[in-house]
Amino acid sequence: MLNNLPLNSILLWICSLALSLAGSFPVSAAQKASDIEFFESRIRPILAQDCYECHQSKGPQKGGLALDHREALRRGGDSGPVIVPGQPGDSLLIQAIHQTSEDLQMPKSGAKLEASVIADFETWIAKGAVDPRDHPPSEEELETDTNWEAVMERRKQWWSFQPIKTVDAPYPPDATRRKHPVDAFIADKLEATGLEPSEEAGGETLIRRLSLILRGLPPSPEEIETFLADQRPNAYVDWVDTFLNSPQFGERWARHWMDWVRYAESHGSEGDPMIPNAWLYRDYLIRSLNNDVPYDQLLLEHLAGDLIPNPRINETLGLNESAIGTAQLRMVFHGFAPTDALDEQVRFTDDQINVVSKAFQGITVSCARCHDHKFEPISQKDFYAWYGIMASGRPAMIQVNVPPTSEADLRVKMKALKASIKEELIATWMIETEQLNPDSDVLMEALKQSKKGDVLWPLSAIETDRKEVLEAWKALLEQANGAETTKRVHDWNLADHSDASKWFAEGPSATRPAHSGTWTLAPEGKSIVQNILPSGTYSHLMSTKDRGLLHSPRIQLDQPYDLWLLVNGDGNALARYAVQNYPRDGTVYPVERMNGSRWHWRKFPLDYWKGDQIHIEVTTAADQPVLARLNQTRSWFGIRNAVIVPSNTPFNNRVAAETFQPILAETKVDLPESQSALLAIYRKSIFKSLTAWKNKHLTNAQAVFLDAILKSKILTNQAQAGTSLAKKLERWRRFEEHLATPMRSPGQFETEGFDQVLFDRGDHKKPLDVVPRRFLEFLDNEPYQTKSSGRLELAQDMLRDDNPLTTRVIVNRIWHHLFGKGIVATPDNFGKLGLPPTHPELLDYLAGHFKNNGWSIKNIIRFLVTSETWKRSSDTSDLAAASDPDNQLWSHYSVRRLEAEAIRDSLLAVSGKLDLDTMYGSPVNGNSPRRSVYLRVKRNDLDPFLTLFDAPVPASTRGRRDATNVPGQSLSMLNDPFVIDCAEQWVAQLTEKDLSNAQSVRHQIQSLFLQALGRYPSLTETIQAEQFLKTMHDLKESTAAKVQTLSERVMEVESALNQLEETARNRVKQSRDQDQLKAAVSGPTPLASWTFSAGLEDEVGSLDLELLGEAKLEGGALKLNGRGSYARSKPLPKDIKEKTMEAWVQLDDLNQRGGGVMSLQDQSGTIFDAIVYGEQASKKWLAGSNVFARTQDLRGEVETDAQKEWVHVALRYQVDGTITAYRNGVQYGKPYRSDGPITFGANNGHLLFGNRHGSPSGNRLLKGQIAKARFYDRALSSEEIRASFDGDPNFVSQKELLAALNEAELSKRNRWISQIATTRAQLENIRSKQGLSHAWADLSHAIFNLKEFIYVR
Amino acid sequence: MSDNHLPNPMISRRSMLAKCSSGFGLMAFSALRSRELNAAPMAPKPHYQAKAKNVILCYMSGGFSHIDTFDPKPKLKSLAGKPMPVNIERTQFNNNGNIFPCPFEFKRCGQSGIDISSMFPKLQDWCADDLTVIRSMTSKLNEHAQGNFSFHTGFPFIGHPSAGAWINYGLGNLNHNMPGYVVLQSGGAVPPHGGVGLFSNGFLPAHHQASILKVDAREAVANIVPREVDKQQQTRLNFIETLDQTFLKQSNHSTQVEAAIRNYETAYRMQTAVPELVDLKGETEATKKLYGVDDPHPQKAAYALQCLMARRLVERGVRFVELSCLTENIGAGGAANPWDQHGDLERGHGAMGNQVDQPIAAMLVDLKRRGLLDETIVIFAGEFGRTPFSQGSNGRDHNPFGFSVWLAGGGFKGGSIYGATDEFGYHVTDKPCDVYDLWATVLHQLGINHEEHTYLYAGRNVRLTDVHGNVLKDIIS
Repeated sequence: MLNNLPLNSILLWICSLALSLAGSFPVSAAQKASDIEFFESRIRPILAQDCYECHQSKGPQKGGLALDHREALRRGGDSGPVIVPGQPGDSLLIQAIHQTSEDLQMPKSGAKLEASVIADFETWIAKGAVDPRDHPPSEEELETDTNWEAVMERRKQWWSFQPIKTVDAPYPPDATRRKHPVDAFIADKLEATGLEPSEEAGGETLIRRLSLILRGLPPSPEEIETFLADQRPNAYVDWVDTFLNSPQFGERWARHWMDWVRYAESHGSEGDPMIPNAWLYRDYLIRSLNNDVPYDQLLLEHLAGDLIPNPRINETLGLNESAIGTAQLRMVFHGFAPTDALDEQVRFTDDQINVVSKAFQGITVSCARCHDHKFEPISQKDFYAWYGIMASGRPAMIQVNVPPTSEADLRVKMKALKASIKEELIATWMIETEQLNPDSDVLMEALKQSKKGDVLWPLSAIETDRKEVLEAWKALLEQANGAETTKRVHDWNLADHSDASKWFAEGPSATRPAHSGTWTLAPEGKSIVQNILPSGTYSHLMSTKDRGLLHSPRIQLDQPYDLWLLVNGDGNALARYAVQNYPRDGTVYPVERMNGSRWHWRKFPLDYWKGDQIHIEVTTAADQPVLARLNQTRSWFGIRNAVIVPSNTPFNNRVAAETFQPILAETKVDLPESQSALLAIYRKSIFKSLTAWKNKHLTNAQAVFLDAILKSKILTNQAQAGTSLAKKLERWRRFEEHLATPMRSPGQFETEGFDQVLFDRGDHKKPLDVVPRRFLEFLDNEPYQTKSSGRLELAQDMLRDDNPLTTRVIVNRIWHHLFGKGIVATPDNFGKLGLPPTHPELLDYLAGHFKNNGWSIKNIIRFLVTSETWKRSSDTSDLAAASDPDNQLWSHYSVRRLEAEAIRDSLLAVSGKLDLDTMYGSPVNGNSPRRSVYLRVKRNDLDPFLTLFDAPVPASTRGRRDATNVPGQSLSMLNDPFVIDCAEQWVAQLTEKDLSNAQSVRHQIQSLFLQALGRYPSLTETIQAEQFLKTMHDLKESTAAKVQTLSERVMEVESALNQLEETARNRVKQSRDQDQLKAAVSGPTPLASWTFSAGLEDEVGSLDLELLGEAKLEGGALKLNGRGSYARSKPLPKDIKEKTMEAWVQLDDLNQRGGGVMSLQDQSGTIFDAIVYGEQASKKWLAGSNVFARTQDLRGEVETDAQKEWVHVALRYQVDGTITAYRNGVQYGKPYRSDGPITFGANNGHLLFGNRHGSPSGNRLLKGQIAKARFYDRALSSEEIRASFDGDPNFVSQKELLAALNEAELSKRNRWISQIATTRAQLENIRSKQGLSHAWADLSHAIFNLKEFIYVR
Repeated sequence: MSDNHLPNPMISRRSMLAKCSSGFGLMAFSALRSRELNAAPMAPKPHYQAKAKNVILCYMSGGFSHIDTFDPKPKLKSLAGKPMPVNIERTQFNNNGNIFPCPFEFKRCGQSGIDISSMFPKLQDWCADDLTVIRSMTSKLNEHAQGNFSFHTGFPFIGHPSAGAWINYGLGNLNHNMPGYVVLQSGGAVPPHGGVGLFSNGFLPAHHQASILKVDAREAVANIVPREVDKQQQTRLNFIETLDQTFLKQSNHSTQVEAAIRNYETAYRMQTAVPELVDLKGETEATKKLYGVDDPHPQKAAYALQCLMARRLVERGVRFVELSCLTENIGAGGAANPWDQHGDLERGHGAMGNQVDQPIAAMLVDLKRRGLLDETIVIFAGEFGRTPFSQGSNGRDHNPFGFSVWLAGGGFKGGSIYGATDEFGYHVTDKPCDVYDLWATVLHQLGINHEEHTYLYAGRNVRLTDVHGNVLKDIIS
């Protein structure tokens, strides 16, 4: 016995033995020894591990109680003694650990102690509470008593950490009832309690349950009929398979999975930026589940799909499916421009650990960030071991498409063609160089164009501004020869293999440096050569469609530094440094967007981030984890050097001198006198460079020089049509076009794995020791032997045979979704604060079954839903209701509410609106007829309908959703236009004949019930429905009569008014000077034009409009009520960059804010340019754009007329970004230069009227009317805009119209207008309360509101 | 003639009407009358005797400058334009200028003589002695969204319950026709950065979440306006109710189904209660004028409407009301962060002060004269303060190291000051406290022990105050 005790326990025992002789319970030494052993082995560890934290002599003493030695324990606390030796029943301690009283529950904020432990305490007290601890523990003793290894060993005894037992189903005594193993396990327990299971559910109930649970949709009437009639012996299993094999299965179950990993498409916080292409992950889940990809494979992919040796390739889509799985690691919440970047990293890494550990292991590792876990065998070191694994991966966009194998061939061919083009070019250029003389037209033209600093400028200015040229020359020489004194803390030459290999790269060219003279072909346009380049690392040596990703190693900023990058790029390629892996930009997180194809040193001061860790990133435009510009398909970068120097030390910028170096080398110091002499030097330098290029020993300076010469246009860079050069170029471009555009998915960029230091009490400002990357120590604390992150090893450890959590967790999740409640009712928490399994053996049986059947999710679902237990009816016996109210014994099927998505999908399905054919793709808005799984999940703007019905906020793993009852749900089902529209649509399919035919009324009622509820109505229900129809019909008729009278009155007056105005307009037209009209400019030709008096058709092109919401054409104008009404065009047929838009508009109210008149926006609605009224400042026009990206104050006048007359507003977007506004043909305010214009891609852009942003939400809708509008794919001149405004002979302004009316007419007009307004108001009032269109719609709407509709039995 | 014999319109309609009078309409009406009786079982037992019942949070989103409002620093005047003599911590824009003294005048106000700047003339004159100013608030967060989450939920990210939800969870809702946690908006106000997640129930049951009440909108609450006349709706509801009863039986009287059925009654009553709430018919012209409901400045008028509505909600037993400032579009102060004057601080803060001063002062006066201030805690706070040195030439950056909030009513010591910042108003020097202390104290006044007020989630007993928080005993009277 003594051998098993730690040394100090033995010492204590000896001491206490001596002391206890004087105690109040004189007992024999032998008995004493066994009591002490009992205390030491059963009581002391519990006291130490679960109580000392709050109750110790030298630390916290909650309630004045210390439990760390005998005297204190016996003394008790503020409420008196806590134990009465010999009397467990009277001991406060026992009451406390039983947790029966609300006021006294111990351990505090912890799980209840195991029953056996409580029993031990009772035994111990009953036997006199022998306690050998005669003094408060020393720090050392305390350390030993609360030793983590010992604590962990004890905690590992918790059921979920125990190995999975191989169990057989209990022997079925009654073979008919217990054919299925699940039923045997269930019956075993039921029998013991004497509960009778319910009968099998009826066919109608069963098919509805099966359909809703497996597909998330109600069964169609045809399916119900067929199912009920199906007499085949295997009919049920066949139906299960039909549903499992339907594409809707994946859509339904992917959403469950999305709950587990807190699926989100934006990062939240200020700005709430989208996670680019997050939806690819959703589609990946749907495909994977439909294809029944084994769970172990999916788990592997979720952590390390990008690292597994044999990824799953989807040949049809050309996708590396496995890699997409890692997107879940990117669905973290990100703050905006945090000044403490490490704090941010801790938070989002914690987020990753939290989700991964809960979703796949059913435990919360992130609880151990600040201290060893309070209840589980999870140490603080475990958390930091995982931290290293997660933080070693850098946020990134990873490539997930797999280019066809033929592409390698294509690239070989392109390379050969390129070499041949180069040869031909050099030959041509040699000749051209020879022909360069001061009189040649080419040179004269080029010199005229050249500006100071250009390569040809010295040549153009040498005779006119010799002094200036000389000065510049001197400066260049100084720069070229200047000594570099600054100490470089880091100096990477990205042209050099040994330096470049220290960086981390991806992409066809970016992975290795290129030599000088590397060059690129222009993929489009007139030019042949795009760039001739010095040595460096490039993303685009084959194509600008290729992606490039270049990361530096981690850099610790121990001092204030500056970062200098020598970079070049175009198409919004990006250079930046990332602090502690934070992926967003903003305020103290600057980025460099490269647009312009020029070499420059970009300086990034780093002094602010002293003490932090950074790395440098250079990427193509679409390859940033948050800042990706996915529509920018062409983009490239080049980088030559990355240098870090102490803050504000001088740094020699030699870029300018480099261009001239070949010339400087020839002239030495002396600049020639004449232009012709200098030209000779230029010629010589060009010759030399061309020769060097040909022979592949071009210097960097020569490359830069040659590139500049080429751009100065003295050498031909265009191919004459029909020449062999042109043909080669054309072939090359055709090949290039065939290269696949990379598909990017959010993921992790694998660079250098590193071990994380542990933070003292979770305080990131207090680093302690490094913790190696490894799994959780309850299973294995061996550090990972890898230079990589360790994600692959982590996934493999989760899948180890001796890890009991993984399979238990997943089979329980599946059980939960099938039965509405798990065998462990807390599916995300298998720890001590979770609930224990109701049927532990069954859980282990299922875990084994799952693994033995290839980890197949469909298999286990089929297995479970073919059990009698699953098929049972929801009828509950009185006994069951009384003795097992929570149905823990599964004597019947539990009734439960459908999830938000299933409710919305059911509404759409039953109403016939549901679009099942469109699967996958970028997310849609709530008004889409597609399944809810495709709705946008934007953290700060979650879908209100789904949120109302408990769709989770994407914050953490949510394996079990709430099913709450809040009034908003009822209000929504009663009054939400979406629900009402579904009801209307549903009955719109019923024919007029059916509705009026008394014979078929009953038939229709039956049909509605069957469609929505999966059953026929009872006779009583049918009669009640008939009565309801009748009552609603009568109520409607009386209202309809009123509406009819009023409508007629409005129409009458309106017609008179129109006639009056039309006559006046004609008078105006006729009175116009015919000659003047002829002289007027007829106006420019638009790309699209609409005159709303004529309809919604585009009069010029194909951009016809559709009306949305309550938008309507009335009185020759498009009427917009500011409440979700707008008009939308078909997609634009071509790319739009520069543009002009104009509209003739009238406002209902000058005080309205943010009314969008006309807007060009992309399909997603995130990017737009728009004519907007009163947004930043009231009553002013502005050029609206997404988050004001291209918007500035126009400083125009306050609008005063647009309420009473038509105002013409035009916006012109010039190619240099200048935006100019016009009002009634005259410039409005001041033009300004914006960051634009941006390109709206062909088939992506469309035009909106009455709305300036995506869906009709918020208060950004126009209240007013539009008479005409035009859209131009170019920037019109001021004259053209003027002409468009007043050059239309048929346009009569309000002012002219009023002037043409005589006094009597005017007063008549005013009277009529006011009459119309009053009557309309009455009408509006009645109409708004008119209810649904038809009594049948009332019935369908009522059926939607039946609880039965949103519940499954 | 039997009811089953169709179609006799007269009979069937009469029978339906008869059903109405004994059906849904009456049921809803009787429930309205009996709400007092029903209220009791919903309210859990507080931990100790409560001093207050309700909270009104005037959230100054964007972060108002403490040194320009409630924490005068005369020293800044003498150092104007000079560099900060102490180390400057990281700021969010890193565009730090020199010392920028307060452009407003401070005055010692009321009997107590606490300092209030000229930004708030009505607070100065009407209620200085009601304010308990805490000058030693600190935060760990330097950006809006995280600061807002931290203030509202105690955690700097989405997913945790907001204080309003915690309080409703602790005390229960006294009003059966209104949610217990209401966020008011008007004039196009929007939630602070972070979005509606700031008002979330988090992992608490959903009925604790805030309802956003757009007090000047056509529909103050989404879908609150019936699309049909009452008679039609009652007919519909009675039909639904009848059929639901069958389903309830079939589902063995599932409590969940029963609650879903009852939920329709609440919704039905809300359709009346909400319009009645936002209808100001019962308010006198003098009261409206006191608040400034018809002020010519639209933002002020809109905010005044919220203040008046907050009083009406508190009268109706709503536990927690949060008000939303409106942007004046000055100096980076956008819709979500109106107080965020990174530039043009004098004009921006001046306009924001003008927007909220009279409405809030009026609300305090009105609550007081109705005897409601004692049982209502009014909080005036933002997510952080602003730097004593300029950002650019005339703005201020975020300063989480020391800033002010004030409390009024609810058993707090009026006309008192707690804690202090250094002579620049940069760091706290005396009695540092944070949002956990603030909520611990507010909960205390509501009779809740913040350490006992927990909810089991994700394997932990989670609190509003996380593992922190001390009740600020000094500010309690």
